[in-house]
Amino acid sequence: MSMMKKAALGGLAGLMLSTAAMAQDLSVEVYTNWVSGGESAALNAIAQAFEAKGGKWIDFAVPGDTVAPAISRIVAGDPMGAAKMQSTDLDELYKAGLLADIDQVATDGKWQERLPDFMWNAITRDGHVYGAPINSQSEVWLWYNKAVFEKLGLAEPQSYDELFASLDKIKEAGVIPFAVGGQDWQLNILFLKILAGVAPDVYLGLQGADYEAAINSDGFKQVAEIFGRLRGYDDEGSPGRQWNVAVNMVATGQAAMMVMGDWAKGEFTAAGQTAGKEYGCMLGPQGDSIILTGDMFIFPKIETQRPGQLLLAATMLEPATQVPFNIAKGSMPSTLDTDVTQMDACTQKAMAVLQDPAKRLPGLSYVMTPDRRAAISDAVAKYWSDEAAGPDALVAAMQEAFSSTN
Amino acid sequence: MTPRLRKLPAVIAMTPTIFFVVVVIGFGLLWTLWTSFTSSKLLPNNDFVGLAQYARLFASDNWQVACVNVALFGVLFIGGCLALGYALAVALDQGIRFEDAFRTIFLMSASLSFVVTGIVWQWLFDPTFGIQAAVRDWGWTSFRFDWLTREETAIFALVGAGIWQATGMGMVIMLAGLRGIDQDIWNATRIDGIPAWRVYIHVIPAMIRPMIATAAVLLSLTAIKIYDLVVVMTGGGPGISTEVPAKYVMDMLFQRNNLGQATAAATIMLLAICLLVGLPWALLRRAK
Repeated sequence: MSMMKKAALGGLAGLMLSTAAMAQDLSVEVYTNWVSGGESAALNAIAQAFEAKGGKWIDFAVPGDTVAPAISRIVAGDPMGAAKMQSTDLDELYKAGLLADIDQVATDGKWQERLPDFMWNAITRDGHVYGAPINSQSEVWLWYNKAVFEKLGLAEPQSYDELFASLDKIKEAGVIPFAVGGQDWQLNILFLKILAGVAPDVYLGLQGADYEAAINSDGFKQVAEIFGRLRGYDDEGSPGRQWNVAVNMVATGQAAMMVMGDWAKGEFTAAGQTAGKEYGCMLGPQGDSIILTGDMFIFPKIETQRPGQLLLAATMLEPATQVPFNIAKGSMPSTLDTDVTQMDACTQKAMAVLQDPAKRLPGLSYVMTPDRRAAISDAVAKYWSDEAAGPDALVAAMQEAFSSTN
Repeated sequence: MTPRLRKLPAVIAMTPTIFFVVVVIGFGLLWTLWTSFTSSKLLPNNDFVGLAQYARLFASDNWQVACVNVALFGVLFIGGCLALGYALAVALDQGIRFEDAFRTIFLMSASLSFVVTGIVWQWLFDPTFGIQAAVRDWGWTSFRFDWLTREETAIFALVGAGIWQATGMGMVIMLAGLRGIDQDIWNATRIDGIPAWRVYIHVIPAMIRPMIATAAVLLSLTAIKIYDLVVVMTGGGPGISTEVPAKYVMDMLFQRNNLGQATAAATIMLLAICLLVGLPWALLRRAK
């Protein structure tokens, strides 16, 4: 046996011994798919706060936007102590009896008062709490390049009519009016943003049992029409474009504006720009209701990590964790009472609006299965890429998307 | 040593393989088949729903588009690779100089992964960045080369990239066939005064039929499981215009948490593969 192998085996044995010794301790193995620079910095913010309290953080990060690695381990009876998931993943695991509750932590931390109602509902089942929402992301931002707006003498549009008037002027000036990342999920964000602004009641209606009425409503058709009109203002390179490329087009002034979730800030920051100075963020042009999505951690049943799980869940929602985590992640605190004066101008703007409960719209990931969500984005992307399709085509496709999924 | 003892090492060597084939592949297949008849979503369950998953599958827009795409891709890709590969093989067969170098160059693309091929061709096809932008910069401002960004043409862009990647492999297999042709055939056709190009078109293909069938089967396997190229170049877009069956399975499995749909689609793909692999060989056997 070579020296290397011996050393590696020794190390492995040591590791196993130390995990065994720690088992009674406050160690938790945490599954995420956060591996990029900003994401791991954010994860470190949790880990540091957790370890400062005596916890031991064991990283289990798998790249790729899927929960499959965690699910297969949980089902196989080899669960980790905490896993990043979405609330709709929670249902089946809960029904199979695979999740541990964190009721005590939630009561002590007054989570019910501090979280938006829909978020609280998303983490509770039959009166017990099963998830720790770590952040909120608003997916309704219209980002624009201030220099382009100033040069053409444009102000922030206050309605979609004003928006289209501005877009025409920008087009005449030879700048790409609207940067679009033509991938289904990005187009879906754009569509839902218009829907949430123009017809928030329809947006909420889609989430209920009577979704058919919502799809066939005038509001929906109006939104489909506005969304379809925007097809005339992108550039021919938009199909398949990555979101960060589209953000960069706005940052460099190649394009005037775009719609994306608040993670777009990361790209502006990387380009050395500040909100309110080089670029602007607005919730309008019409309506300022905010669609909130976000990530949460669930805690599979595993007795050996139980003490650690409770400590970790409590740590996650403390302001001292929420602020550094969300600064690094580019998102907002999930607890709406958190002091955000240290955070950027856009976050402060959104948090002020969110103090009104009527402005908090649950993101689809809290209320809809991934199956139906994907069917919706397919319908939206198909409608966008077929320039000849009118609003009725989207109504039909949306009905099909809903009836084929559950 | 008795004959039985002589076979012992072989038996020992093969046992783990046989075990894994039976347990991993066999069990996996049966489990997939069973799951496709259940209502499984995120977690597998045993709630039998008959053919409901297959009904939804065949009613689904995405699956229909995917099937048309893979058929179109398959025919054009295999046809293109065989035709172009045969042409290159014939060209190399003329006893040209530097044949080894040319053969290596033509085969080089086959050593790339589809991900690399996909990225390169995505850049070339990008209208604001690739060939179109370059030609326009040279002064031909009305030049259009935007296949990849239009719904109707995106699938042909994929075919183009696929052919570029896999032609070399078809060429090598058929070149091996050409080298196996008896010199007497050439002498005979020369005496009869038949021009070489007619021999290449009418006589040789029938003689190297096994090579063509081999290349066709290998290429058809590439075509039916095509996934990486699509994900890298279009992600299934614009809209859903370049969806393919393998992507449908992967999306259902990993994005949409719908095991029942994923396994139903995978089962149909398996049936198609069995047919596709079996058919050429069956035809070949009958021809003999």
